[in-house]
Amino acid sequence: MSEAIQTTLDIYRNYEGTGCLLFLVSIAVVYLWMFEEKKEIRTILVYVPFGIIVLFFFPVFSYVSMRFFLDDQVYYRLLWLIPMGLLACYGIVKVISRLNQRKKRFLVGTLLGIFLIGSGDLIYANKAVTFTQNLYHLPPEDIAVADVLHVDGRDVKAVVPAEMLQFIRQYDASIQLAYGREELIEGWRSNPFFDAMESNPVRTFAITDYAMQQGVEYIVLRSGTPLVGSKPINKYRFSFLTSAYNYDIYIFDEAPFVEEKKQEYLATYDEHAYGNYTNNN
Amino acid sequence: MVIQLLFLALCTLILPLCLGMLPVRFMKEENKTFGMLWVCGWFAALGLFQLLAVPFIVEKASFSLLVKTYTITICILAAASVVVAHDVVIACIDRMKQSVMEKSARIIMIAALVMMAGQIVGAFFMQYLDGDDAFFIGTSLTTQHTDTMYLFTPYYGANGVLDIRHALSPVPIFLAWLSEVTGMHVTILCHSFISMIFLGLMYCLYVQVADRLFPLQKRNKWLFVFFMNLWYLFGNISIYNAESFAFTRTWQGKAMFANIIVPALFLWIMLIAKQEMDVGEWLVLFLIVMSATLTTSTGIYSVPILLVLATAIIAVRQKRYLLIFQIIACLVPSLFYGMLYLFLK
Repeated sequence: MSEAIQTTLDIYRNYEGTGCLLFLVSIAVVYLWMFEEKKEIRTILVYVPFGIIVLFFFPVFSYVSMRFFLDDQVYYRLLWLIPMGLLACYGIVKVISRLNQRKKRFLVGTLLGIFLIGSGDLIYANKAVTFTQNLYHLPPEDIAVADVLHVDGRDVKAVVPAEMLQFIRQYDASIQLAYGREELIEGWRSNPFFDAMESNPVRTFAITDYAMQQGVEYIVLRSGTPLVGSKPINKYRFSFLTSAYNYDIYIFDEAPFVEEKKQEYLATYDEHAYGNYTNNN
Repeated sequence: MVIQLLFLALCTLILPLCLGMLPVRFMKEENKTFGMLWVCGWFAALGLFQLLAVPFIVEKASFSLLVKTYTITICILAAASVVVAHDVVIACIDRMKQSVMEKSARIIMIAALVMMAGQIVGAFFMQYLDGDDAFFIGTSLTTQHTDTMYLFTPYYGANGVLDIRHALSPVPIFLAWLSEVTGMHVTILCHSFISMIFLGLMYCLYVQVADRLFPLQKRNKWLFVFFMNLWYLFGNISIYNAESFAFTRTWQGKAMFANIIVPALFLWIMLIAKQEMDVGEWLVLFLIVMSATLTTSTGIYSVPILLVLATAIIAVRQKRYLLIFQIIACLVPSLFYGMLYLFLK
């Protein structure tokens, strides 16, 4: 139970950010409780949110919810049941509308607007929000690599660097992967093939052996990835097909579509290429 | 692309407007607006999808069969809705004509609409690379590619067992259906267009809320909408809050729940408290609960909490105890899918 209380407090702290906007919501709720004339509005915008927040923090409720219905990773979603924007903005408008003079209304409205802007964070200022380069809203290098891997009329199996795991199948579901996004999330899964691909340097025997065991037909490596082993990658039946952006794509010599791909990438296909390889024996 | 966009407009603007006619026809006069037509039509489309899709998924039927069944059903329903309830459009036009606005209200309205339009256009041009899309959009694309539903893992494409937890909230399958009928790649559909449409739907809901909060004060109504715009624009205070989800994961079920379902529920709670519920309103509340179960498994659990709590307070304060039974009837989808989950997991 005490764990549930601590988890609930942690969830709330993570949710509130700096806490300024939730402070504004609290002020709005108190204001509406004191001054809202319409009983039904007071019921909806004061008592219902108050009931939700009490339930949210109530240890027995949070314990039961986290134990049987929602796990602690998604318990924060109960806070979504409080329409915070609706409460704050209704409160703001009620404050403004109580003022008689137009100038006062404008001044107070502007001040409250500035407080709101100053307390929050502009969504477009988030560093993770960027201008898109294509209609897919996906990294262009993932699209370019997926276009190379694609074979009409059949599925292919590939292994790609970690940064591509989340995106490549959003573009083309005919590309199966040796492992997926689970590898990026701590505690979800642990795959030795992923560890081999992401090690530095990459061991040629390890990745090609895992690849052949799992029926992988393409190996995609970051260009310049240091490769080590007793033999280069092409000696383990994976030939260099082409590069796309900063990624080198190797194709399994016995893939059913290898001849088709060789013809398609005649200018770059090189069965003697071995990338940034060093013999460490 | 032009034809795809026309089909998208047909499915996301025209079709919901047609579907909305039937429930809105049986609503109180003050609720007969074009905004309500569109909003209610969306809940009809989503609710009906949930009703049809889950049996297909559980029975491991093909996706193409679901596409055909749902498309035919929804087209018949939209046509029937137009035939039976087209006169509601006249009522909506009349209501629009009655709306008189002073100059200051008009200025605030224009400012709010410009901000709204800016955010909607922004959704087209700005991207947020969210890891959960590997699941959501991956599921949609895998569904189309394999013609199965929730039988292949979207992360790497391997065959697996039925993922029952997600299968009961099949928004990705709905988006795959939309992608099938429009011919648009589902990733383009979600990231470039659904994000715009759902932001529009969210603000349309807030305009409806504003109408009920300030029924006679147009200036305050649009001032509220203006501040809601500011609130959302500057609401990126953490990665967990509803406002951040509205911009970064608009097409995901959980974002739909937080930003479309919850405001809709509050709008309906307001109608309950103001005693403005008629047959149409109750029907749409049922559809909203059904849509909530479609969006996320969280909805199955949390919608009853909100609705029971709100109606219990209203029932006690207004001495309307029959409300409790009416709400329990509306919560049947949540109870049903909750029990189905426990039975199938």
